[in-house]
Amino acid sequence: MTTIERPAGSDNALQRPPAPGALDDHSSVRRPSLWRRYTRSRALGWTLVLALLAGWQVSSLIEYVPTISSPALILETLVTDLVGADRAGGDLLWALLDTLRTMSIGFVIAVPLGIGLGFLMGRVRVIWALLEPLVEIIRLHPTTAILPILILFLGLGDPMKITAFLITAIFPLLMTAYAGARSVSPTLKETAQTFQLSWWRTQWEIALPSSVPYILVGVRQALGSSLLMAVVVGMLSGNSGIGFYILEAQQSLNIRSLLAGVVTVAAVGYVFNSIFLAAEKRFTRWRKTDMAP
Amino acid sequence: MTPVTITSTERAHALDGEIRLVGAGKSYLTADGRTVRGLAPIDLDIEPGSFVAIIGRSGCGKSTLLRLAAGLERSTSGVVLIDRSTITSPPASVRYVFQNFGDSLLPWKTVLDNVRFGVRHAFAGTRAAGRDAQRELATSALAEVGLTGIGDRYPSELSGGMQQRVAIARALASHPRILLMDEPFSAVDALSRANLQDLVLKLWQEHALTVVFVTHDVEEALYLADRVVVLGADGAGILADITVDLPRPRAQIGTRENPRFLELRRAALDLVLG
Repeated sequence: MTTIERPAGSDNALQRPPAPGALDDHSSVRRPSLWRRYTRSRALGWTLVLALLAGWQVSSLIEYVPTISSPALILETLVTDLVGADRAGGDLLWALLDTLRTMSIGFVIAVPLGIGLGFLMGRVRVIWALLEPLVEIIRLHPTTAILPILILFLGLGDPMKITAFLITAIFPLLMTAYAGARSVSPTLKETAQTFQLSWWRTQWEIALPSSVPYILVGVRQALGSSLLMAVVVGMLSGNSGIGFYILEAQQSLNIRSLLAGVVTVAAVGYVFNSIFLAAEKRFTRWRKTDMAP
Repeated sequence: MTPVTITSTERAHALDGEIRLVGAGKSYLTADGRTVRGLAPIDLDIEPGSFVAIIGRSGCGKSTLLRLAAGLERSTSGVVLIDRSTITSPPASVRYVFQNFGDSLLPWKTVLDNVRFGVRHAFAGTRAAGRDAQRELATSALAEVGLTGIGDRYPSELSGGMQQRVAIARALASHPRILLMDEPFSAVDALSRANLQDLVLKLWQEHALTVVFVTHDVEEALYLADRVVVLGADGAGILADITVDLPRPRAQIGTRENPRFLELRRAALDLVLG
């Protein structure tokens, strides 16, 4: 987990109980002030981000340094490169869509494959014995090191990119699904036994749901690594995608496009993470840590 | 000692729910190849509709005994019979209530769905119970253990005592004949424990169940049971089989002050601590 969840209002629990004899005085248990809530929520951090941007903008207005550009100019480039001159979509948009397309295909294949294999390795000893050495050998290689091999055998097109995304995403999913499958409590397994659940039923109704919190961690890791790979693949294969857009901007010394590309990658990462957090909240409502106050 | 006051004849309709251990014992093989005795071969007959408590020190094999009766473990000697047939896996007429209720409930399911899980699987073969019927069965089982209006909550939102009530409701909802309870209240606070003990007595009587109750608490065993089986240390087997001739209904204060209760308590403690 990389972001630190701190739900608003959690300070209520930390407030001191009213002193004895002051029970009628409700002022001591009233809602914290707006200022207090603001200074303890993410809004404070966003204010810092805005302040830094404002500082950057102001400094560029005082003395413009082309190598660091300015937020306003980067935004302008971002919009024109996204929307395009004739509103048909700019280079950046197409590069981004191309990357997201191959990334999604790789991810969609990796999710059932990685979770399925990892889960079965955790539940069936024979499958574990068969696959564990192979998984360990491949897993420890950074995908970036395998990339030249992929390019050699699959060329520079979609098959190579999809395979790269598949390999990147599959291992975090596999490892966490394995850990989740191993973590099923013996008491739960015996509960299933006393209710005469078949092996398949036990996996489906007991082992898989109790692995969900682990698997979600894997999905999140896989998303993060895939985004990293998205940039690397574009730069190494050098024909399309967001990585190529950034590389091209750098090689033509187009600082504004370069930074626009970087901002886009960051924004995509942020959106992924937000979607993921919402999904996680939905799937793990039952966990005590996510309980509403 | 006078014979048991409540016998199976009072529950003549309850024809099944009999447990017999014939020379049943369990030994384990350790990692370094030694054989360790879990429970020496024992003979034990438990009549249908009786309430039997098993007591003994830690490591005496009382949980092993219960797990053998539940079919959760295979005996390494002798046989276990439930209603005159040998068991090799958990039978449908037997329900098990675990000590660690927190791990026995499905944490991702609501309270109602946890109980429905039991109903669904108990009646899986028959298909007699539709969704609505399952819901109804689950709701009434929850009401029986004193839980109403909390069906939508998750186990983690409940106290330990309430979680164990849910586990009992789940066991009850599938209409078992035999209820095996493995130190079910040892992790519950003392006041809740007293309430839960009375709940189990009520359910035992109303459903004409056979209850085998493992505990390390001598007073709890005497308060609940018709018979208290004392196991010897290190899986030595049955040390004594005490008939608890205390009148029913039992009462938390009255029964525990009964001179006969104190007499039995002394005898049982002597055996356990011996």
